[in-house]
Amino acid sequence: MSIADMEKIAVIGHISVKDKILSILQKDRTLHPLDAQQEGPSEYKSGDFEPLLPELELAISLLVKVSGKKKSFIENFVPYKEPVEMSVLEKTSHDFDWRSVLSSIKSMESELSNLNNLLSTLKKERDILLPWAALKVKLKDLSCTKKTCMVAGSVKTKKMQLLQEELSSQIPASAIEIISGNPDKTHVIIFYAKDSAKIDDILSKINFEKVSLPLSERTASQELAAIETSLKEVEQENGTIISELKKYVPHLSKLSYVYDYFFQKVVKKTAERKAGVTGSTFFLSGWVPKYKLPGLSEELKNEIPLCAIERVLPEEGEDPPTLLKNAAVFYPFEAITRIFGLPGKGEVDPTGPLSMFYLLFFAMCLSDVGYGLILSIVSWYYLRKLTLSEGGKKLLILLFVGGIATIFVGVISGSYFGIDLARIPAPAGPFLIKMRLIDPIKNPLSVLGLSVGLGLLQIIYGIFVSMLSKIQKNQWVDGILDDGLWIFFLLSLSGYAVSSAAAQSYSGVLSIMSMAGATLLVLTQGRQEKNIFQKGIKGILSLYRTTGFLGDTLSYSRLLALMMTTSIIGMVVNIIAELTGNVPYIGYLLMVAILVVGHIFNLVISVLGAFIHSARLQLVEFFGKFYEGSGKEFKPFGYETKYVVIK
Amino acid sequence: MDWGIGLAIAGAAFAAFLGASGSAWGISIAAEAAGGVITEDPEKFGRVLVMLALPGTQGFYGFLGAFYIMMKINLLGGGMAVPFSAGLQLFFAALPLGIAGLVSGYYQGRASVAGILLIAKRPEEMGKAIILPAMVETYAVLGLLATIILVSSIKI
Repeated sequence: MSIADMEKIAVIGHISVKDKILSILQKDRTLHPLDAQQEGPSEYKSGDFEPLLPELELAISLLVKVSGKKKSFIENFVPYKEPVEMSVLEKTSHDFDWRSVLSSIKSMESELSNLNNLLSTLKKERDILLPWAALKVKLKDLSCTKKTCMVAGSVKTKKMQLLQEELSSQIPASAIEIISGNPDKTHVIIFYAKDSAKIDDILSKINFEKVSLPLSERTASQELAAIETSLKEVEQENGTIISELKKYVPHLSKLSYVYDYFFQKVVKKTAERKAGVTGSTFFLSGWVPKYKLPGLSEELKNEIPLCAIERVLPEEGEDPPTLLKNAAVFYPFEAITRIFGLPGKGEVDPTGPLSMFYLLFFAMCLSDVGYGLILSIVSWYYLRKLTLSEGGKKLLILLFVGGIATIFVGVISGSYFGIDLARIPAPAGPFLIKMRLIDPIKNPLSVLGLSVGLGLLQIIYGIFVSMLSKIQKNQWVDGILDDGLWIFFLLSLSGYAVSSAAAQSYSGVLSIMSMAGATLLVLTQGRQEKNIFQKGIKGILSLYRTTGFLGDTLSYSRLLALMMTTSIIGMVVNIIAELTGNVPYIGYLLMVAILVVGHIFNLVISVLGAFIHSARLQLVEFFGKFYEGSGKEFKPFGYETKYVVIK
Repeated sequence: MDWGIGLAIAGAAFAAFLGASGSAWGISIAAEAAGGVITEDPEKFGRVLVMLALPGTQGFYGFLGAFYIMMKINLLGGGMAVPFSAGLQLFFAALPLGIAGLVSGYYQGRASVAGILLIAKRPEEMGKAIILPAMVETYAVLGLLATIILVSSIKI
């Protein structure tokens, strides 16, 4: 049994115990609630806690920023969540005066953002004034007099000459003064007689950018000095607030407890909104895994007298959500199934069928004893050390098991950190060489054959699973004619291909068998069509599927490619390290550094490649034969947290 | 003049530099998208990093192919006499890897961008996002395989 049986139930209780029942359901994580689809009465307005969450989140992220705590590299991938008891969360939210902490953090936050705004305004003003620092006059004097005008602005340095020429030729009564400049831009003041009409044309022609300086009693350099002083003051104030904020850093974990406590309240409220109510009772319907039902009804009966659990018949066409429940051996491989989608009604769970193939392919792609060993040790360490979500746990177990399998495949392919086995002294070296059964580098064609052979095996197995599931649904005819015939045809055809290449005597028999298979396929695949021509055409066209199978099979050749990538890059790392070993004095140091960094790098990209490509072979090549993944996920009403894990 | 070994080295060089260029191109496209996503949510760094590393394999395949050709002509061990025809064969054998690596690196980068945008909105669907660019990579792997099989069957 790999998909848990589901039971649709309704929990009915007196309205006074609603909250208590919901708390028990939330703690148990067994009910996938369904909407009662009735208009809720007005008391179900949005919960009071909801607006709190973003405020708390903002405060927490601000404190984290101020505390200057650095995340470890691994935390970028697997965020750490502290495991805490629910009672601790509740107690903290009651005892700890988080409201006052929150409000003071909030006011400091708004002060900080005001200061930041001020800071950026001041900096902007400074940037405008900076080019004009050399100007000796008061800024407010930069305006027109009775007869003359002046305009301040900047122009591209390339166009300076053009500007000067235009001015002197078109407006004789004009002057230009360069205040400052760089190769890109020149800042100038242009004086001209007030009635010159052409000035605007000239300025727009050379893309002159007018600048509006503040009308101040002071000169630009005096203004700049004032701005610098205020900048310093603002920064000082900023620093004071931040050091004030730092005093709140010790409250960080308590605040995150409070956040997650109220988060649970919101989650509960959401479930509560799904419940239907009458005057004095309420009911919440949903799906429960069958094996958990007795425990749940027992618990509810013992703790709350005014409540009952009723089994409900599902409506027509209503499918239960899917919960995978595999034996411990297959458990981690659920991660691969989940990438594609969960099995829907009437589908088999592909986790078991894919597991051994996935493991083997992963190991073949990585195929190095040393890398396998490191991978399993590291994933074991993190499995122990980190508190993980369900998905993270599956992934790490998968990597751990994959590492172990890699050790075995590594022995067979004779790869140990890419070391040349011929150079390992006796007795270890010759022994390891004897253990080596395949060598992808010296003899890639045989490993290619192995990869493709395994691919053919998995594809035929996929068709076989499809046949079995059809037979279980009592569709014997479809199972045998659609899948059984194809298995027969593919087996005899590939057998014929291999035996005729090897010039075996029985290739004749196999060729007759594959022709018989093809004939049967042509005769049967069109059986659903109405007239005889369509039957014939569809039958013949069905043989086209062979090319699809051929393509699928060849896709497994990637196993060889990835196997070679790992071992050759490992070898290259060793060769480069050996070359640097000859560098005088620091040679050995360099060698060790290159070995460590190089092999870690190769390990990481090889594991990534092995994971992705073996998964792809399952999802595309294997699942395509029998699996749709049309199921909905079983999402029990339970705890959802952001910062901690509720034990 | 020894054209044989020159052509063989040219093949190895083409495989390495085309593959590496494809990867650099693809990763840079993906990194631009990743930068945007990280600006919005720095927490997604880890997931996004995996996505943008995906088009990086072409560079390694190219390097690997180059090394395979170098081993074939024993270049690290001082080199051997390579006839002109064999050198030409090695050169052509390197092309599937190099060209498929260049083109697929770019397009895998674009597929990675799609995956990164998917993660930005639905971080829980990382598994699906990671498969999309892997579909493109298949053809770089096939190019590598073609080169390896060709090189290993060339007789010098």
